[in-house]
Amino acid sequence: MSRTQPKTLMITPYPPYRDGIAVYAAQEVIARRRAGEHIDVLSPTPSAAHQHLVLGGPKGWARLLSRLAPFDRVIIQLYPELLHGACGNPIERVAAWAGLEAAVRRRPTELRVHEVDYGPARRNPLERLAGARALRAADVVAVHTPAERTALCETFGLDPSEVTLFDHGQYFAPRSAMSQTEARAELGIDPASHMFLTIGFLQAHKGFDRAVRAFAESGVARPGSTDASAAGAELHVVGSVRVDVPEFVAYAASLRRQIDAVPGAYFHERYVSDEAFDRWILAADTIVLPYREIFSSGVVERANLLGRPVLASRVGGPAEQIEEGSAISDDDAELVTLMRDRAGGSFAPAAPPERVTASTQAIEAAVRSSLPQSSSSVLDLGERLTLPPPYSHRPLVGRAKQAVRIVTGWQLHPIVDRINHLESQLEQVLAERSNSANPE
Amino acid sequence: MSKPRIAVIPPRYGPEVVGGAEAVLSEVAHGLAVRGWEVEVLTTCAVDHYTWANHYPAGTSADGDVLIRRFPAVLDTPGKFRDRIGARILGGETISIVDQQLWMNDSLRVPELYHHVLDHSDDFDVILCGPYMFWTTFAVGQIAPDRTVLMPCLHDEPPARLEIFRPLFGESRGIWFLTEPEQRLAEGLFDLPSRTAEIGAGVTIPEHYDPEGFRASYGLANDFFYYAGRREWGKGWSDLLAAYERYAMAGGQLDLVTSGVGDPEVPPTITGRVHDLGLLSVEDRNSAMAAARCYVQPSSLESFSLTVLEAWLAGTPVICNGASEVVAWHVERSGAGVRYHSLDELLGYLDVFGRDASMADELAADGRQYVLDHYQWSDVLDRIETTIADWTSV
Repeated sequence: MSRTQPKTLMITPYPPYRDGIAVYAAQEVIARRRAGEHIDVLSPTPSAAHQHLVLGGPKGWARLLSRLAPFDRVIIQLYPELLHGACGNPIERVAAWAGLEAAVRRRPTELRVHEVDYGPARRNPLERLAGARALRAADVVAVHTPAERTALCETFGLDPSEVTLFDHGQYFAPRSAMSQTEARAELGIDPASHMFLTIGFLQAHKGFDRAVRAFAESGVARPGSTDASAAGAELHVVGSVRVDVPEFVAYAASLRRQIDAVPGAYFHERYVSDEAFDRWILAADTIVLPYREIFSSGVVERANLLGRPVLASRVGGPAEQIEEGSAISDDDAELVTLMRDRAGGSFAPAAPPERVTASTQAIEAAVRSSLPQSSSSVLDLGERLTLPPPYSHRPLVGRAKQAVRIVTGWQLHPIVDRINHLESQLEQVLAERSNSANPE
Repeated sequence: MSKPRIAVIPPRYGPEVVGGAEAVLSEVAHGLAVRGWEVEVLTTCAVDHYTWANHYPAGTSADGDVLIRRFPAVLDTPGKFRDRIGARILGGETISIVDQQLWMNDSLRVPELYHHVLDHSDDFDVILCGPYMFWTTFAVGQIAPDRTVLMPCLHDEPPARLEIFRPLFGESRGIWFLTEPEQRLAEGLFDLPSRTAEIGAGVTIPEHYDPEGFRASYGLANDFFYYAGRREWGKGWSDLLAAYERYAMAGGQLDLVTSGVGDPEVPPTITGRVHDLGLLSVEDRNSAMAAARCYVQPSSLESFSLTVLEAWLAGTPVICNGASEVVAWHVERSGAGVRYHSLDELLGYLDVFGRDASMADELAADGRQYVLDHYQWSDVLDRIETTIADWTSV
């Protein structure tokens, strides 16, 4: 890289965190750095990024200003949590927009808008105004689909010419080179079946339950058939709960119960790597994404990249993202029909010989037999609990330990005594039970 | 035809580094370089795995035929998530993915190393990462899984059950295990790829031992038990001290000699009986092994236990913690040691071998041959090259 080359700072969630935007951003960083661009990354939490800074509110955006000085250009992967995650009231939300505007005015900035929480902006004219100012201050405002552009422009009063369309999959590259056969073999999928796949984090708005219900109603599963021509279809649901908030955990539990009751449907509740994500898509015949809400879909882009057709619902961006061979359903009944249509169609070194010598066993047996019966386990109740010794060869550490012991000993000693007393009673009970079981 | 290229990525590298996994990765790097591979070690500037202080300068250097690239270790977070979530992990609680990720990223991070591999992963035929729990392996090992071989050095411990490690284990191009028990453990915890192998690790065979010279150099008049490694609670050191204190206070005649890193924190009652020699040279450590009556391995968290094999090579028997499946497995196969399952049993073995040197000699008889039969570097490197040929286009 030459010394005069412009330096770009990208502000984004970043690996090894795994969420949709982190994965998206990492692909862009790889592609652009390999093309010779100088790109550093700042993430809102500690990660593999060069810098990290808590954003999500006016203070965070104010602190960002001092970090921008070394850079010629900034790209912000914008989503609600990054902008407003730490805001507690409407005033802070407006101030966060103002903080974003200040940052955007400091350096030429591209705002790549992944999601916006339109509700508060539509309800609060001041927030709408602050949002419009911040967006207009940016060098480039980019979204992935015309529907997103329309929503953004309508909410903030922008002219469509002020918002650029940016191909969601521009920097996507395949992360698995497997054939469908290889991918299925690796995943243990029936090679003869028509494989439907629903994949992503488990959240109600993704509508995975709708895919399971439609699959059940379609009647395309013929599990257990050994006849390749009659192998039927399978639905594989792959994903994990990203945040264990009760709503998501409950959704995963209900999905699990639902899938258990549907022959031919399989739940792979797991956290998958980027490579495994692609492998699942490569193994599939059709990707089913009956979202209830979505802005633009990274899964649709990966399916496009890997040449797999998608059945998606008519919400958000997917209708504009899908490619030839894919289809959009307006309701669950249409999804059932679409699914019916689609389904028609070590090396290990040799184990060395056992060589237990008599001496090992003999010595172990001799020592064990010399010990009281209760000493046969590390869980041996005969080992009485004691507090750690309050000394150390390091002078200050030793004194600190002694001071802690003086201060806390009066509380800890009774607890230790109590535990030892309970263990003693337990031993007595066990001994009595043993005696009664083995009367002489 | 161009030489095959491998990047070896240990969290630490250098002569001052104490760690079995780091030693194995270093040997693999040099062994493959001798066999004609182009080898780069990509690592941190740190020596100490507690402070992660940048000890070496960042940049490139050569260690024989191996190119070393060092990147600054970054430790700029308070560590409160690491501590709080870590305690919950050790308590066996279910931890959300978000909290697992916070835990992983609230300690050592090496962004410059990450981006170096991001920029250059295609330059290598194989990227070798390990051990599994370090950020360097977790983060960097997932950049190019199609060419990454994992040497996990897995222990049976609560963090091994965290979901965030599943992609690392499940999607790597291949996994090299050091022992059969380690492989069994991994098979029970993860959906492994079909490409796994027990490759073992080699033990460098010393040209000679000088037990008498060692005793004289360090003024060790008494016979002794020996422990080499990290003197820390997690390695069972406090158990060994507790048992030895009882042994010595009961009139046991042998001393306890230890070398390695960490404050031994010897109780005042036995300060004259425990000899801390600090970090020894390889030659001195080998001679210490040969001079010892028994080598004691009190750790239950071993994925290979190089020092146990070094003891056997030196003709010294081993008293090991039976809770370590790996070391117990070595003892089972070699017949050159004993396994304890309580401090009373450990005390019993100290007493038995403290009184009877000939029994120790007799027990050790098969140990050296066991190591020579299974753990020579030439055999290990053969297995490494065979598996790479099977798993990749090299």
